[in-house]
Amino acid sequence: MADETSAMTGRAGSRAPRDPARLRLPRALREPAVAIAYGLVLFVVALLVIYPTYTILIESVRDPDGGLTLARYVRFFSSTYFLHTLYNTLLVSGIATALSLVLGFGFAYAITRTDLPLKGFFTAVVLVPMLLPAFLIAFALILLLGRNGVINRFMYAAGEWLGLADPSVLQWVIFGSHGVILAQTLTFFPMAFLVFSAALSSIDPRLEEAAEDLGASYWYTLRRVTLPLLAPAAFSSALLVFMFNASAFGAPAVLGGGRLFFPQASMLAPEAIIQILGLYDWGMGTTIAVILVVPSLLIYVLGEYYLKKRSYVTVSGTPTAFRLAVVPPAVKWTLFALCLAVSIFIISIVLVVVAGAFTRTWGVNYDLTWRHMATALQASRASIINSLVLSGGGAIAAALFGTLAAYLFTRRSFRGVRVLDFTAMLPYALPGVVMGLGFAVAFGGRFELIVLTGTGTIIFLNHFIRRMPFGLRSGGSALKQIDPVIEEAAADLGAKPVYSFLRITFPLLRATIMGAFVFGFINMMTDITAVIFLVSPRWRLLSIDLFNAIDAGRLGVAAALSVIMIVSTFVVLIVVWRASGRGLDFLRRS
Amino acid sequence: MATTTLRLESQPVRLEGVTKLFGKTAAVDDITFEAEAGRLTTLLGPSGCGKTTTLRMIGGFYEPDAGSIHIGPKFVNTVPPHARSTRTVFQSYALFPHMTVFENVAFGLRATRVPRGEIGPRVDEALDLVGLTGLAQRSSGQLSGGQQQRVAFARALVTRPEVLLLDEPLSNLDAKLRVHMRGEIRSLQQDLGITTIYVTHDQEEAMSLSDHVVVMQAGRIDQQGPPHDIYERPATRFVADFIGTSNFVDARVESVAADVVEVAALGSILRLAPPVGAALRPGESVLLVLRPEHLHLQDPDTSDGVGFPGRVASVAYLGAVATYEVALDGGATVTVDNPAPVGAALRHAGDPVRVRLEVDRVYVVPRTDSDTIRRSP
Repeated sequence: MADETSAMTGRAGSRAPRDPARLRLPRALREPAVAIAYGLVLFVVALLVIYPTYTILIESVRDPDGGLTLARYVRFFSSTYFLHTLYNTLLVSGIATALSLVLGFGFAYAITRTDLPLKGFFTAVVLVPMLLPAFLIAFALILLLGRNGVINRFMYAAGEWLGLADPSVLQWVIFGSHGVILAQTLTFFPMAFLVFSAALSSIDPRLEEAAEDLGASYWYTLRRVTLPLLAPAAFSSALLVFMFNASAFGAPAVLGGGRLFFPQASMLAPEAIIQILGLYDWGMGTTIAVILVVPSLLIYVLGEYYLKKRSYVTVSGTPTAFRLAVVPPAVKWTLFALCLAVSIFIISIVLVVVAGAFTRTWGVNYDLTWRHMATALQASRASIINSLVLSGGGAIAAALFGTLAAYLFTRRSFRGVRVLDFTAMLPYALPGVVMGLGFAVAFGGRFELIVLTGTGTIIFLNHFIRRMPFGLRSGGSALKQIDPVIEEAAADLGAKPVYSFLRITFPLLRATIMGAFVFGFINMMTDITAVIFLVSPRWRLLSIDLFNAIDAGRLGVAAALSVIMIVSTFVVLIVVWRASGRGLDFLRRS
Repeated sequence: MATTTLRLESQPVRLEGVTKLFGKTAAVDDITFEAEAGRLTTLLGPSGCGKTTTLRMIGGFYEPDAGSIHIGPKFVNTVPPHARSTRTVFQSYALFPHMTVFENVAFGLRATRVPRGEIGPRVDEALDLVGLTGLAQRSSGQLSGGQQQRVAFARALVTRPEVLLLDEPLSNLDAKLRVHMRGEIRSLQQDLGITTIYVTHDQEEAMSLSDHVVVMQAGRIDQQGPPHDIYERPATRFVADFIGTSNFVDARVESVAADVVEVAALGSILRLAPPVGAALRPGESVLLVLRPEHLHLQDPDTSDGVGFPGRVASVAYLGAVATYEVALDGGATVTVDNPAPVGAALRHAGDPVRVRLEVDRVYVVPRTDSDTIRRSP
């Protein structure tokens, strides 16, 4: 027995025990496949996250003579114009964030805690804005509430009918701060909704029952028990929503021009685009981008690493059953009215765009026509194909790569991996303007290391890296639901890391990967703030064509392009949903 | 489970001075033992004693921080799990939820590239072995707890491991099935002659299954040996307390000789067998271990053997036995298990009694718990 050699690999013979593993390679990296995968992740993160961020920082302090200078930052903070840009951003974002929280909480409370009718309908409708690009919502608002919008035309006619001296007093024109705030609230409140409904359904119902049992009224319980329990969730979703609001480009560009709180100035993200694409001032554009980055990063770090530890409720917890009848009828029906009104508004946004696509001249002549659709399909044929190919490919790459990275970070972890994880998550926290501009600077010839200007590759890589964090996060949380012992069992039975990953981990994560793909695909199709810096005459995109059509006031074509965008994302969504049916099933079972 | 012709090439497992640190705490602290080839060794201890950590080091899921692990002649400290000849049956079974029973059992064969033609027959043989013939196409979610466990065994055994590792395999089954499976595991293990290391916190399970028991506490081994040795001659207070029930009575060493030690307890001098392991010094405080079933209640005026007067404090009638709490006149209170007598002969609270000891079944253990005299790591 002693001299027998078995099939086991591994070092033969006895050896003296040696010191603890301090000086050796981390155990995870001793598997060649794992080491190679880590090498790939490191390369991608360095090239597509660190390098563009670094170049944008350098560009903002680069002196034309070759030295370094802070002159642009001084200029920003001493110029009334730029400061007003900053104030506009803060005011609009602050108000839109507050409204988003109220709406999100209202929907979440109505759906999780009451027995209102139409709850299924509300749940579906509240997610619709997530499928639509922000500027499309702004555009739909123009169709509804612009000068020639349906509602304002109707109000004008009503004013005439009433014999008012100035029939236009009844109109509520959407252009201005209120329009931007409305558009951004509609765009971002679903995020707050998701956070609140997860938090509300994972609060232990016994806490509220205990409060009631001790004699507390509904309002007292809400004020002293429920809301305080939700505070961490509310705070972190407020930060998140504010961050997205502050870096938004679409609504300010479409609805904001010259009519914001400080009317001479725009908002930060559109201003960065103006500086680059209008004035070719790369230095100032990147400076604004950096100014946008700092608060975003702070918010991200605060939300991600500080608040999570303070949360009272586990967001991934199993939803618990609540007694639904305890909410007073007055509260219930107020919530119902709110949800119904918002839902109708959201649906009318979609309907008005569809109507706009098939009517001759919006606000003037509502005859049916195929003309806009024909123009759109013909003029933007290449853009549509580009968008589908680049978003499809980018989303597949992002979902797979994100999942692989999530697997490495959770299952093959070692000291220092948290830093890599944090860096890989950065594209999620960095505003689109920053990521787009970063790519334009890093790969656009201003730094000569890699030049990809005008290629599809640069768009693909940008799509990929910006939505990869979603695969990383959802993969990570799905892996936390899967008992690691399942993978240990595979290793125990002789499966090498790659085999185990492909045959066990990957199939178990199928539904999650599909989800990451869908989310990535939708975001890539509708993205504009990043790719606006990266498109070229040879590589146009559907979202950019749509934006240009809105900008040029070609509302019919814009509506037709919107319909094309909505339909194509919807088709992909349905196909993937169908395909993942089985996948979702077995996840529920295990 | 049926008998089989399948014999496995069993190997002994040897751990020497193995230590595993989690941060600065030693989960396993300098342990040494050998699991002999073809025999069943149990790691027994309360939760947190380091028994599962030890098993995971043998399986390759943790790497020891010090010491060595050998499987047969091979040093395996740094060998990853997939390259070891050990197979684990996990506490939760860890069946692959997206695979059928057949695919689960075939997994280890496919992963190690066993020729395609061999897989079917070997899986069938393994399923026969554990009594699951005909369930190959079930999905793993459609099985009862007991069936899932059989799949886990078949999945481990089909690859012909040199060592089988069982991590509390019965803890998820109900009490009746647990006793039944215990018997099946033992006969399967003996039929296959496979080196098996079994982790449990259930002393009854350990006693009934094992060739060799390793009792662990706070990362260390308190005592090891065959089950009856552990029970009959506990080396520490912890072992005496954890395995079976014991009364502890304060005593003082009077004199120590080669094969006998004299102690003063309850006002008498007792001549007892010296303890395993520890050397005693005259004058040292020690504890006497008195098993409740080795104590006998007598009428107060009886005088055979060594006995102490006392009074019944309470009685619990359990059917087969009656358990008495007796307050001895010397001050201590002891638990006594006696066969339950018929009706009227039952003693009652307040009755004066005499508690007789079986002197050859009274053990001395050091007074201090071994963990309190340990050097911190």
